[in-house]
Amino acid sequence: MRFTGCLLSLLVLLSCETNFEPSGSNFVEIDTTAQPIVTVNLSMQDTLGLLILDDQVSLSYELEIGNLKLYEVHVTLDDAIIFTGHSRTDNFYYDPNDYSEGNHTLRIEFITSSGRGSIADISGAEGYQFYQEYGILNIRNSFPEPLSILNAAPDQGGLVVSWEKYTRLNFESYSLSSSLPLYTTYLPDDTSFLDPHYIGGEVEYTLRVVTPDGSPYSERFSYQSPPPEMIRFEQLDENSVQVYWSKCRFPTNFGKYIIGAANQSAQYLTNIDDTTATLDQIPFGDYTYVNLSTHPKSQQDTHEYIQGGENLVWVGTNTGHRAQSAVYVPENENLYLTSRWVVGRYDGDSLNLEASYELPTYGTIEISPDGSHIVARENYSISRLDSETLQPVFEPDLAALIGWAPHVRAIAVANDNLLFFAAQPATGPGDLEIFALNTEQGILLDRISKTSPENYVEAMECTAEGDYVVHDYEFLHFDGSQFTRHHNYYNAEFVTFNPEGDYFVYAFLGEPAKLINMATMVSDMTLNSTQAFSPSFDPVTGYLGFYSNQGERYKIYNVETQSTIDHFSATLPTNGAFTLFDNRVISSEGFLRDVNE
Amino acid sequence: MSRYILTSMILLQLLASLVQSADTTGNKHHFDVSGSQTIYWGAESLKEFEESIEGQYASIGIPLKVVQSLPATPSLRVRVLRYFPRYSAGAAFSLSGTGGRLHYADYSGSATVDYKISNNSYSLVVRSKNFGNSKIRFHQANQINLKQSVCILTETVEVWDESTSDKLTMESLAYSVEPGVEIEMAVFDGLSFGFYMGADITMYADAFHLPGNKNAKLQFGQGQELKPDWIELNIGLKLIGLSF
Repeated sequence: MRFTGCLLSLLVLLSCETNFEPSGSNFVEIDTTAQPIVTVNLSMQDTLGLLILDDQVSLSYELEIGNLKLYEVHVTLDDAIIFTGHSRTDNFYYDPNDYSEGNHTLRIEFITSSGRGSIADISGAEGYQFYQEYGILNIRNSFPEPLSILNAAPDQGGLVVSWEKYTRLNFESYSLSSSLPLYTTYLPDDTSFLDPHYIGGEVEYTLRVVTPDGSPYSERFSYQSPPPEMIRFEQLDENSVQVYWSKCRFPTNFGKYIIGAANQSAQYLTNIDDTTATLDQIPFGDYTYVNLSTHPKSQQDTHEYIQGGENLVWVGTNTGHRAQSAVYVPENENLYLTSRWVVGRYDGDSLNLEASYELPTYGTIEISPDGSHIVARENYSISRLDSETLQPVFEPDLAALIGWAPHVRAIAVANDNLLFFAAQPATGPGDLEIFALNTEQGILLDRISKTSPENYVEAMECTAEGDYVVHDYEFLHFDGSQFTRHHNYYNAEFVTFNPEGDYFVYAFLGEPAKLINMATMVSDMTLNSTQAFSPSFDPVTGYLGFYSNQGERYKIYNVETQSTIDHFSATLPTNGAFTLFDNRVISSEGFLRDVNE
Repeated sequence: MSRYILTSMILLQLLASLVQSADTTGNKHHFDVSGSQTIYWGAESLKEFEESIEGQYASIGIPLKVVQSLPATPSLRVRVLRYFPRYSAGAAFSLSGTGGRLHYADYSGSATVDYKISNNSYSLVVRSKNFGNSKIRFHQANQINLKQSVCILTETVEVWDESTSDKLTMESLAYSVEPGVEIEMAVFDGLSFGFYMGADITMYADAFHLPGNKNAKLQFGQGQELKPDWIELNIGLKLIGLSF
């Protein structure tokens, strides 16, 4: 019984709980109201107040977070993480080529501990997430695009060039280049430019956008406004003209007009409304070039200007007919003007063209002093022209007349159908011969070989009646049926017979012109010890006209009285001539003026 | 050395009781069950262990504090004795448990280090002959205990609604001596109850180690080892005593 009690007691007591369970707590209150202060410094290229990323740009950042523990830093571009770091300061390279061009948002984001010291803070289960965004970010990974010039128009008294604004970033400046004058200006941020130099004319502008990655050119933009140009001129007197030109259209830029004739002092006109000027000392005989230039105010002391075109003025009457030589027939007032292979018959008063003829090939046309005998020469033929219609009426068979086919080198035409010509065989070697021919009857009157030296084989002159003829250095007398040698000193190139044929002017190069008596073949008179060019005798008055390069004047001289009738400023056209007739002078360029007795 | 002397004295006392004749009162055996309140003293290695844990957590910023350390706990003891002329001798088995907690908590979570120690003691007992009359008897008793201790260390960190926990079970073997006194009051013949008080003094203790591997010891600090090296003061009530 007792043993059973012992066992029961033992079992009951052993079943009592003796397990120990720990207990107790240590709860700590923590202030959760304090907020940490952090700052972020991001270092990048900064242009125009915006952040710019370029190829292989180095970005660096610095975080000031006090005692907070930094867990992770992310730098994102839009939603893409471009960098992950764990340091308070770091830098990295970024290649924007990995992203499309355009605007993006750069964001730096970092996570720190909360700094509260709580167990969540310590274990990293609690913290702050900070971020800072850097506005619009432009990624530029392609070459900058060129701009277009939109317009150029007169404005504010000048020319305003405008263009579209360059909207892409990394802009530095515009560079506008002009072709008139050639210059380049750099404009920081404007989209228009008042060109201070433009005063008219054709100009081309080119615009460049200057960026670190290049400076593409725009297409050329052309603008044209008529520059000041000479409009007309009026002849004031024998040697002066009044010229008029159009007004400059850009008063703001206008500086001055400069106008002057060739070889004359220029006139400077600074009033934009002064659009006329008197030009003196305009020589007779040829066109005179007038230079009109307009200069911008900005560059008055430079040579940059706009040329108002080539302007021609003249004095006298511009007949419009070239006249290498003129033959005036007082009886019928016919004026024959020849210029190489063209001949025209004009009314002596009105200068109206009444008939004309042009050789089909190269040659010359010569007219007798009385105008009744006109002969055209080609290389291998001779034609007589009708004095009224100027059409060929007779062509002699020269080969039959002289025995061989000739190469006609020169002709001289006298009155009464008398023609002299010099020729040599057309084929093979042969000496020159001089022939006398009646072109009405087609009869060869005489022939004589040329014995003088050859110098100007195409020069041939004869008297009006044909009693003397000179070819090159061969001076012959012709009595109507036979040649005789007269002299061999004077060259036909420099011989001009007077109408009566009793003397001639010998105007040899570089020597004073002389009057040579035909009877004695010596000089009776020297023309004021000056060199004479293009001498001619007036068939009406008998006056001698010639151009003197001494003072560049044309002089009309009375041989009998040995006095000067008239003289005026003149210029001898190149390879040209003056011809004096009926107290008028005509130049090879067709300018005509009266002689003042 | 003193712990061995004390142990030797108890063993001699026990041997002497075995060679004596049985109790002349007629009862030969005694069985009793005691419930005690155990108070722990000392436990130096445990204190250092707690400080070490505090230091570890403090190093990561968590101010862990000891909120409970070896509190007084109830224990049970069962004893069977045989009466001899001058002594009673026998065996005893007792169960006890204790432990402690280090803790930190704030609004976001908590960190807890709990340790629970349970002790199973197997004892040899020698108790002197009673002094007194038939109603009240006084005894002086000595025990040699072989104490098997199991320590379960649990480390829990809870942050918001997530927690992690590590659990480590270790064991140790120790022996101790426990001198004490008893007051036994007879209810009627063969049945008694009484009081008991004794001091359990550890003579030797292994370091706590992983079960089955004595070399896998728990070490902390600068090589210190955790041992059940405390002194227990057992103040108990002899719930039932049967003599037969």
